[in-house]
Amino acid sequence: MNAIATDAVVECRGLTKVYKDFWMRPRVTALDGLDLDVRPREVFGLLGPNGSGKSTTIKLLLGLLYPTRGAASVFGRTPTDVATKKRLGYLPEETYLYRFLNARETLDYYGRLFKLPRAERLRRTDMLLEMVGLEAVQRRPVGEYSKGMQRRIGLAQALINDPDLLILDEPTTGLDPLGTRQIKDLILHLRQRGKTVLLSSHLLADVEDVCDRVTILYGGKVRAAGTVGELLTASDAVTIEADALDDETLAEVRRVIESKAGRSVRSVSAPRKKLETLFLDIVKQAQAEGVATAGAQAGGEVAEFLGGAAHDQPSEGRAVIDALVSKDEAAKKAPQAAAETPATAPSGADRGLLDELTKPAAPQKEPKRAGEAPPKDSVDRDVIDGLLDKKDGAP
Amino acid sequence: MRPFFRGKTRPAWAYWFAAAAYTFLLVLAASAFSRAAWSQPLDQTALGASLFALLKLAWIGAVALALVRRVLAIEWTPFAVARTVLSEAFRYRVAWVFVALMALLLAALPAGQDATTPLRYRVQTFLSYGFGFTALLLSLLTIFLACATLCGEVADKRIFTVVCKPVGRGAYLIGKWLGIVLLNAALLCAAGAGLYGFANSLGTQQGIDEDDTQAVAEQVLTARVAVAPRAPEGLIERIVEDRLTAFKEQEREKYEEWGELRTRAELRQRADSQWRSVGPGERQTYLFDGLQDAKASGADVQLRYRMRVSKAPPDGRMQLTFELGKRSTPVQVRTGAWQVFTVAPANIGDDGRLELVVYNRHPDETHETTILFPPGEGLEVLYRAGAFGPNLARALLILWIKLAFLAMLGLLCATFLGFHVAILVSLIVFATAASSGFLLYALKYFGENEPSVAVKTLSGAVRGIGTAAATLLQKFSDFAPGTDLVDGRLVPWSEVLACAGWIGLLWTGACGLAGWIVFARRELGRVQV
Repeated sequence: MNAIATDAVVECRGLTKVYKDFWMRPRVTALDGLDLDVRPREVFGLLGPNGSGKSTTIKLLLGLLYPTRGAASVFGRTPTDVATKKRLGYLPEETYLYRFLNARETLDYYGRLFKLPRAERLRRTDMLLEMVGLEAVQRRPVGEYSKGMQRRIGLAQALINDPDLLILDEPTTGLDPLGTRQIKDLILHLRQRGKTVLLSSHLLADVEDVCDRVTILYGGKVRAAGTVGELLTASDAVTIEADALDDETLAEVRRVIESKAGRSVRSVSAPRKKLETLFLDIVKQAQAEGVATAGAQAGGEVAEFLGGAAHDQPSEGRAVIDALVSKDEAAKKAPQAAAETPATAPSGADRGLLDELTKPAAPQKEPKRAGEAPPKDSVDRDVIDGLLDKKDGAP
Repeated sequence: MRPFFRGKTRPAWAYWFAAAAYTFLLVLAASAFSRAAWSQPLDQTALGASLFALLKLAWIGAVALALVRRVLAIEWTPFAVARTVLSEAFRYRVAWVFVALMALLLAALPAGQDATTPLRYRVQTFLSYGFGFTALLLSLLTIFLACATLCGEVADKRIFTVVCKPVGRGAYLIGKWLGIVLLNAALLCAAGAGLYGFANSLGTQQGIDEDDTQAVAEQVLTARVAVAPRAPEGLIERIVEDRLTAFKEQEREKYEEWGELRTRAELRQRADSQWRSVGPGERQTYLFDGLQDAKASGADVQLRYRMRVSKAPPDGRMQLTFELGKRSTPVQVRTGAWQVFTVAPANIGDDGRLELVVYNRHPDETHETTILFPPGEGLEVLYRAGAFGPNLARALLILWIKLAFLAMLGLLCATFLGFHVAILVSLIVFATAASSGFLLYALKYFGENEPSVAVKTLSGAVRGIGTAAATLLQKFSDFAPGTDLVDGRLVPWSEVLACAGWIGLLWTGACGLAGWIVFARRELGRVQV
């Protein structure tokens, strides 16, 4: 397969896949001349009904299928290039995992395929299990999990390498609203971290909530493409949302609109809460009350290695000083980060490095004894943190 | 129930400690019971000996498995894949079934034999069936696991989440193969411990007489080198030359048809048969060379022989005289059965040569007949060159190499076939390879006497294909250490190395290469439109 030299994370040009039968006669054209660009740091939605070619596109991008015509590239390389896969995470449409392995072993296995050092694997495994809410059932074989729990462990395996490009094929299938919300939050969080997400789904609400740009496929061809705003904004109507109004005020508003703009008001109604919001509130309350459940727990915070610290925007001065304090650590991590970060996303790489550097120190297990010399790094950090606090105006 | 060990991860040593403690308590309780019930230490009772042999099997197997897991913990991508294969084998209980079957079989074999049968035959029967079933069970397990692990991953799409990780398809295949090969290593260790333990415990039982008990140690649970006889210098050539002239005159047409070379080859074969035959009232000399080690060891050597007769004696027995140096020893022999005659090392010359003269003279004329020692194992001298344990280890090593080939064969088939077809093809190749010696013999004249031309043509095609396949796979059946082990013959390192070269490197490498080429080009996705 030919690769395309490009800045885009994913690029397809005239990508065509024709399935052939045993006698090599063309049977089905699954994809017909697809042109596609997924830019760095965006959430890209691949929409379409069943059989429209979404999964085929993803399989072509993963090197699971080979194109009949056209070309595709991922990070500027052919999809079959093993090096490409170091920066890629993939959640298939159904969870295809080793039923005899438990959740911890599953993540350890995939971590080993990425050649992650053991300590790092353990750290990430703990974080991901907590993140997807499977910590309590981590020793049970994956084959015994419910569909939703399998989706969660599937998601965790897709994130074990902290991918630069995450390909999610129907990610919310089989998940409860809680898991669905978590996936959406995660996608948004990853985008904030400068990651690229390619999302394939036919659940339109999911796509609408998180995607920057979408492409709608039908019959293997692109039918529409653009940003969500461009595609969904209706130019012939306006919505005005306000606090509750009495009938008299509403009548006044109608009158003003009709007299000033010469347009009629089509409908007036009280906004309704979304069912998803109601459901999440109920579950949240049950968890607060400590109601027991045998299934997956509520997911935890986004795993730290995926950029949990990115929410707390550090002050520039603190980031610089912290970077200087931890220069040894940074020196070790920098080459790896450079190697694993796309050349097309320098700001994402910088932010990732700074996030690593500004990571909060692990809590000390024992209180410091009087007169005991703390580790060198802790002393420096304490002093500098103190100075920074003063600078920020803290007492 | 409270957890046995607190904490997030239960360490492996906790399991080992628990297993060791339970086993120790079990043995302690059994020993106390044995002393109370039979007034005998546990290991001296038949039940106790079996129990200890089973424990050995379990412990050696567990230790080997732990070692394998330790090796697979090394950070290398194929090892990660291999470790998953190991987990698959045990958690789907495939390997447990094998271990249970093997343990049951090895425990049942000694108990199921007739106590009136000579002990050496009982030990040989145990070794023959024990080694044979171990090889068969492991071969089936290997083929099943190789086909299942790859076909299963492709069929249920688990492979999607693997090949989208930075692991090449070649590394993935190697990982699968290593997993099976290392699993086999652990299981062979367990099987070896079982075979060794049960054979030794059976061998220390009382034989039907003293000779029988001694024969177990000297002829079965040992490793002996076999030396075949040769004719005295120039004898065969002399006979050929003498006969050639007569043949040219008496059978001119045949000589012209065959030509000089073939005629000489035929006559040499006849001369060899003649030399191996001893007519009534005649003597024949057989020379055994290279017995320096046997003489140096100072231990008795065994003359092992089996003969055919031109006219069966009424009672099936013959009397021969073996002349060694100046000493003549009359021996009673049964025709068609293996016999062993013990020879003192003093009969071997300083140059390592033993000269045996066989004198065929029976006092009763009704027993006058020509005897023949058939080529191959008809007449040979055996001497001890090693112990049973290392010999068993070498035999198991050869078996392991053959299993490594079967693993790669199964994986090769699984790279392009579905599970059922892959397993069928693998089993056919395995059956052909294992019986290639017999097949070549059986196919030699297959369909030659068919009257119908059509059937004859079809038979000819079958014979051609069968012969080609059996010839190609003949090495597999050539390396058959089980037979040597049962006869107490040495399985030499040269045989292990030859097996490693042919089957381990050449065949397995060829299958691996073919599998990689096919698998690297295969589309793993399916039509879902």
